[in-house]
Amino acid sequence: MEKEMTNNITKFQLFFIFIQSQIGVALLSLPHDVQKSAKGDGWLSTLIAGVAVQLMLIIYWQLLRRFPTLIYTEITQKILGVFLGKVLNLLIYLNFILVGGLATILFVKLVKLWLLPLTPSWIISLLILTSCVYLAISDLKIIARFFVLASSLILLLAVTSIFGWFTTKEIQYILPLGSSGLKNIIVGSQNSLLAMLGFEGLLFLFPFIIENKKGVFKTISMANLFITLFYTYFVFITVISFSSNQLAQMREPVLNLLRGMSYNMIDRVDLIFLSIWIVPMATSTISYLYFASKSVGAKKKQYPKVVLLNGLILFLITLIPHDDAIITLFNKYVSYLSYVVVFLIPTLLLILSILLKKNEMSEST
Amino acid sequence: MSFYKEKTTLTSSSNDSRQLCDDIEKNINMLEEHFFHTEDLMKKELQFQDQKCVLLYLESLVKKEILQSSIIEPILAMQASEIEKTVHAAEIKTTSAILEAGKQLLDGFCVILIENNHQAYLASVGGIEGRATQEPDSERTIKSTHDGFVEDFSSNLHLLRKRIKSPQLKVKYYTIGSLTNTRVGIVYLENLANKKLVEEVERRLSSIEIDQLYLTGELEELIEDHPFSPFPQILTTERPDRAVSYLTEGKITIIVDGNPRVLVAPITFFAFYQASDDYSSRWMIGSFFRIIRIFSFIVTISLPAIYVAIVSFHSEVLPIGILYTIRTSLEYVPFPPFVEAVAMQIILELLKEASIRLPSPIAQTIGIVGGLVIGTAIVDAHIVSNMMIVIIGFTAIASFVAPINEMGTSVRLLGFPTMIAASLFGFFGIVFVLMLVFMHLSKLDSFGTPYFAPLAPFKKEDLKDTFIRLHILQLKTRPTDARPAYAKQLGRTRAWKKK
Repeated sequence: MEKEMTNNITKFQLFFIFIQSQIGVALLSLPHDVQKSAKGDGWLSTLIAGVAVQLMLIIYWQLLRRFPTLIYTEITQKILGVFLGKVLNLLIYLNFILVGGLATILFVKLVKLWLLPLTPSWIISLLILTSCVYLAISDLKIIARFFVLASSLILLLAVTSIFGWFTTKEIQYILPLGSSGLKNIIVGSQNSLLAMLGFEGLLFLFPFIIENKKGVFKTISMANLFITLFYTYFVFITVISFSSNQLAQMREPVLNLLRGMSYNMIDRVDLIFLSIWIVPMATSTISYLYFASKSVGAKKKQYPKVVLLNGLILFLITLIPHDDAIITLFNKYVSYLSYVVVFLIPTLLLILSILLKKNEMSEST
Repeated sequence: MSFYKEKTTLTSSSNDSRQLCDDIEKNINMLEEHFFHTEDLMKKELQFQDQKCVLLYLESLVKKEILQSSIIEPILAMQASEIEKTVHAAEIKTTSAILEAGKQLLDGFCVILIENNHQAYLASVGGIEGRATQEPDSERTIKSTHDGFVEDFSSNLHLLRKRIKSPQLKVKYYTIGSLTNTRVGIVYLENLANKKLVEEVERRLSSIEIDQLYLTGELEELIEDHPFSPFPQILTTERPDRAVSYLTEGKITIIVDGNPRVLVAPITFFAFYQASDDYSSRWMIGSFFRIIRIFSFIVTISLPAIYVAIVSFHSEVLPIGILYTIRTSLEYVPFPPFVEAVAMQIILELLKEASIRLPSPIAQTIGIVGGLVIGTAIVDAHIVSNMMIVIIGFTAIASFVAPINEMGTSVRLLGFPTMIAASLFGFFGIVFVLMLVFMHLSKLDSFGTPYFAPLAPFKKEDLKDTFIRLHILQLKTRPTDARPAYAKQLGRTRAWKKK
């Protein structure tokens, strides 16, 4: 694969690509998801999930250090040989396109539910994917530029959430700490782990980072810390605002939290929040579109066509009926696939590469 | 016609390879043929050292007084034996090529032919006076200098040289246009400008094949990176102080002969929202105005759209008090808000377009008709709501805030797709269009420099002179967008205080 000097990103940009890929549609429903099992201890679940991601990042780091100029799909071929590697790559590609599809479906559903109840969802999905393809088709450095730019919105939203503190709070909801039991907390953290997906992008970004030998691990750890705290903060503030019975009935508790407020100048802060939140949601889709297109391993010239095709596939995926039962099922299978691609395969690759003493210098089998 | 034109231009001027000979009559004939016997090619016969001497010049391009005093009189006086020493012109050349002689005649030289001499002497006697420098109408300032570029190439160069008295200021000439032979000059600071950037500009300029080039705007379209972008990617200015400030950042200015507008490249988006006055005022005031201008950008592109979206989709965003005010003003208006907004925008554009070219007394009438008659009557007639007039008026004012008018207009145009999207998809539509706009801005490059820097890519060190203008003490380094050869621009400052 061609790696032009101009197509590099800095560590600063990496930080924000991480944040933008991970933070997306899942945050809004995260408190609802984690409370299913963890109840008032949901915010502990996100912390635990953050630790799990950190462990995964260590594994990634060890793996990538051995192959500093290769992306995920090239590493699989290097370690496992061309045939087995290509089979795995198909799995990897499927994972990214399906996770991207799922994120887009949830995105479309959310927009339809809160902003445009009467507009057909295929139009919404068409608009979203148009903008996503428009950006994903360009160089990584341009994607990075836009992601850094869009991150200012995340700060804006974090500030907006301060308004959420002005509703009545009940600290009782989270007490006593750990009352849901360790098992339930860990099951809850599994749910928030899915919201944190996107960090596997490192496997595709690493070769393009300028001076990727030093300091990258620090950057990704910082990004992970930021995201974990960001999620924990939002879960915490919703958990102390609503009881678990209320949370069970709310699809997007974060929006409901803001909905309760009214000011002289503005009402329904939730709609403004959601409108701005469209951008971080779109950037997640862009990341997945980019990773999926990269995992195809096309030549540079064909890359735009691949992105276009993948955009079309994503569009077709979003055409499946937005029935809760179907989406839950879809979600379930996609998360199994993700566990394999995001957690299992890199770990196995690392173990294999240690056992076989393979690194970038060694000959391909 | 174009293929035919190409043929004629090639045969008429650029392919004439004839040489002058010793026969003076034949030489005169050849030159006259070169100009197709045009009647403003004047011929004056004199005697020089007992030889026949003929003066040829294009009457329309030379200054008669100079011709009289520095060419004709000295020849008649005959103090020296050679022509070069006799005439007093600032520039004297010799040539034997018809083509070269013809070219120089067009530049305001006169040709002196002498019997039995196959050399032609060329002496500069040009100098048609253009208009005097005056403050450009499109970029007025309060506190900065009040001179502006004019049509004449050398006056423009003079305005730059006057401000940068350094041998580092380098000019390179290009001749573009096979018919017009327009002189184009690139000006930059040799030690500061990035070498690759200079090469790139040269490469783009020398690749142009065109018959006529009259305007800087045409040249801009020929060398810009993204011709289909709504955003201008090269800055055009009529202010020498502005051009100089970019030169000292390591940027390149391009002067086109016959045009008061000078191009500056590379440029970033935010440069269009900066003005020379920012540096003449105190830094807090300058910063305040810059923030106001960035605010104007946001208002221009999104305010009508936000209003349309709120009224047609999301009226629940407004608390009940404001909602009542808006609803009552909308009560009797039969049109959807989008139609109202577009109608008002079109009226506004028509008024603006009508008043630009009219003499000012009539333009005032237009203002009264537009502002008072249409403004109040349209509301009384319940065609457009009061609220919409407020919104459109506010937007229009905001769009005129941009110091470079071109950008203001581009952004106002972008307001239309935003409005359409808002009327179709509400807030989602607005975010969709704005997202596309910002993605587009992130994608743009101007001569290899990211257009939306220092925001995308984010450059911390350049923020000090972008949204705000910090005190000069903080501006120790130049902006990095033109990749200057060295960054430091400030040494010891306010040393008098440290004792």
